[in-house]
Amino acid sequence: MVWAVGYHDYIGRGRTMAQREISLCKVVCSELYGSTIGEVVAGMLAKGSLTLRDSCRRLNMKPSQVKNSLCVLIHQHIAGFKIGGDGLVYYTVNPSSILLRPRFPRYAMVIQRLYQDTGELIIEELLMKGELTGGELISRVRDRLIAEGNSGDLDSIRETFVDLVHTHFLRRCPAVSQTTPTAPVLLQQDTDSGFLVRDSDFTELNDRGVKRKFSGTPETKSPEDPSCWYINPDRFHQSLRDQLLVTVTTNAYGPIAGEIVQTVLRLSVTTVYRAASTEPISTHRVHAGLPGNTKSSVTMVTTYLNMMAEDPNSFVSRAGDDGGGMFSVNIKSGVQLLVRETLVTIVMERFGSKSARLFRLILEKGALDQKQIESIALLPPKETKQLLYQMFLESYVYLREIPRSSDRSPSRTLYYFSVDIQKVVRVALGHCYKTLLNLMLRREKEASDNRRLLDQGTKVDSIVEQLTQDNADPEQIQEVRNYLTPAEKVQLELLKKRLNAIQKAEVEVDETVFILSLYLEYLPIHGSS
Amino acid sequence: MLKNLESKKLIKAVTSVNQSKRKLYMLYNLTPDSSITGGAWYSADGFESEFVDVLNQQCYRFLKEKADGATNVENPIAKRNMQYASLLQVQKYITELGISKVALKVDDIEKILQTLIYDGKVESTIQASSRPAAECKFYRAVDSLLPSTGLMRTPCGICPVHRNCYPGGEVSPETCVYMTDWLNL
Repeated sequence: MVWAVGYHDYIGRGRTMAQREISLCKVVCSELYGSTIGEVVAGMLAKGSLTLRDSCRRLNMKPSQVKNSLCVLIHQHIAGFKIGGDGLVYYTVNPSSILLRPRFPRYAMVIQRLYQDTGELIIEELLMKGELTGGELISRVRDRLIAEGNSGDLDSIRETFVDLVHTHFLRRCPAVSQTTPTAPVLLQQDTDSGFLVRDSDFTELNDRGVKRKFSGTPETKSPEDPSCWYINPDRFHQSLRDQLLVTVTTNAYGPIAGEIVQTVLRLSVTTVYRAASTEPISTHRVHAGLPGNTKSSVTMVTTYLNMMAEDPNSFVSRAGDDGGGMFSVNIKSGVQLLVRETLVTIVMERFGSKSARLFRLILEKGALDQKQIESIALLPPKETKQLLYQMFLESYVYLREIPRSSDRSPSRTLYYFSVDIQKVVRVALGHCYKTLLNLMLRREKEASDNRRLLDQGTKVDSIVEQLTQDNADPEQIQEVRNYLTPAEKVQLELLKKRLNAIQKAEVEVDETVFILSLYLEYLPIHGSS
Repeated sequence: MLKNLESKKLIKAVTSVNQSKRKLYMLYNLTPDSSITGGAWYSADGFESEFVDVLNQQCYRFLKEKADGATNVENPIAKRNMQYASLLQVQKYITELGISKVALKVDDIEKILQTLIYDGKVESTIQASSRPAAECKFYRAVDSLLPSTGLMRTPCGICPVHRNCYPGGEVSPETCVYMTDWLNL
């Protein structure tokens, strides 16, 4: 979990930043799975790993309630279990898994672009249910396609499913290696076996596509029985990350350069997710991989690649001279560039463009005192002081005192301003989580304040749909529609517009969360240099 | 006695940039060094931020027009080279505009262009050559790489009291007036 710990955060009513993130997890889970599960999540996050008995005691709930909640959470890959040293089973809730939920609409968008409707439905079913066997998944998708009026061709759905597994978007759940009296022990999966499809995965579907009931008991489940599949978040994040890098390249060098970088990233998509850079690829391979309708000449591709490689601010680098020039995309620099630009945008919108100038200046130079900053940024002393201290109050800028005399008198102390990117990223991330929480709470309030209106609207819509399906009289349908007065209809429309606006904003805030947490993920692996 | 010398036009008073109340005196026909007057940005009233802003905008406009003029070139490297302007060219343009009372040296223009770089509007490069330094530094107007980010499109991103905001408090998401305004737009 990327905990965002702030240093100068004002604590309102005893709420620290960690408590706020627990509230956020609770609200997310309550909305998706119900308030009981929300309570369980909040209680377990506050304490860490708990046995079943301890969690019942802490949460003041019946064991059956806690058991059911844990079942759902484990199924959704939010909670995990482990056999502790004392032989008891400890359950832990994973907050980063919960905080992926706001990003689910974007996962669906990624798949819709690559695999159209069939792929999107497959992913949607898995996002809702957590884990499904191959057969169950395919039959559900087929039912949904038929309900929408499309033909539910089993073979094409199965093909899309296999494609999704081979491109690592879906992953097999770990199998049980042994069943002890307390808890099953899961097989440690190596990276490749999770992405292979076997024929036995579809034994639930017989020739007519009807699901056969699984007749065995859990103990008699053999390794050949169909196992469950779940989504692989890392692969989706790789796709989103690559999209961002391509956008930045297009903004800097033009659409052709964007296509080139996209091709390089696509050709190296099966390398390790958190690699610092892609494998070197030759110009000829890039040229061959470009999309057919916009193919540029080999010389043009080489020119663009050379231009990007020579620019010190870009993240394409030259790796050799064979094959017309070998180039690779330095993902670590790309991520650092993304984060830097995001932070500068945040500073500019929050504190003004002059502050953004100061922020960029201090970022580049390291540590400066106020006079030096004034003379380079060409701003009057009063304004500089005001902007710097405003940013300092919100922890975007770090102040270091270097006393020159032993009594540390202010007139003989040097005050140096610097920017610590890691710290600013955490501050901004905490701000994002708070915003997300605020938006969700506001959406809940708007919905609950107008509960009656919303319920009436849903009732009218469902009756109208039923009547339309039964080919009823148009007059009857119009009568049902008139259950709502015109004023109520207008109110309902406005309410729906407001709720949609808040939901859209939640997805947008998640965009910022994604970039910032990407940086923090890369930090322990590749350092900050 | 000082007044006597002043009226005879042998010495003159000079205000220091440190705004000290002390008056400094200097021989009449000498010009004070920039460390006392503060350079081109300081006048009798102190730091001239408006002047700096005007110069900032004019330099950016010059570079932006040059960059926009190079649109029909296929080769990306040739297109870039057309968009670049040397430090000397920028200085000549500003001097010809005549907006400055004092003569602006190449160093001063370089400082203005550096602030534009920190604004993220301009990038610079250096081409090694045997010419004088002012003809080796090149500048080009650029667009921002990431124009906006999701957090700042919500009212909470720019809220001045977000640190005092919590559910059930005086400032809370449920009663937030900024959110109400934003939703009713």
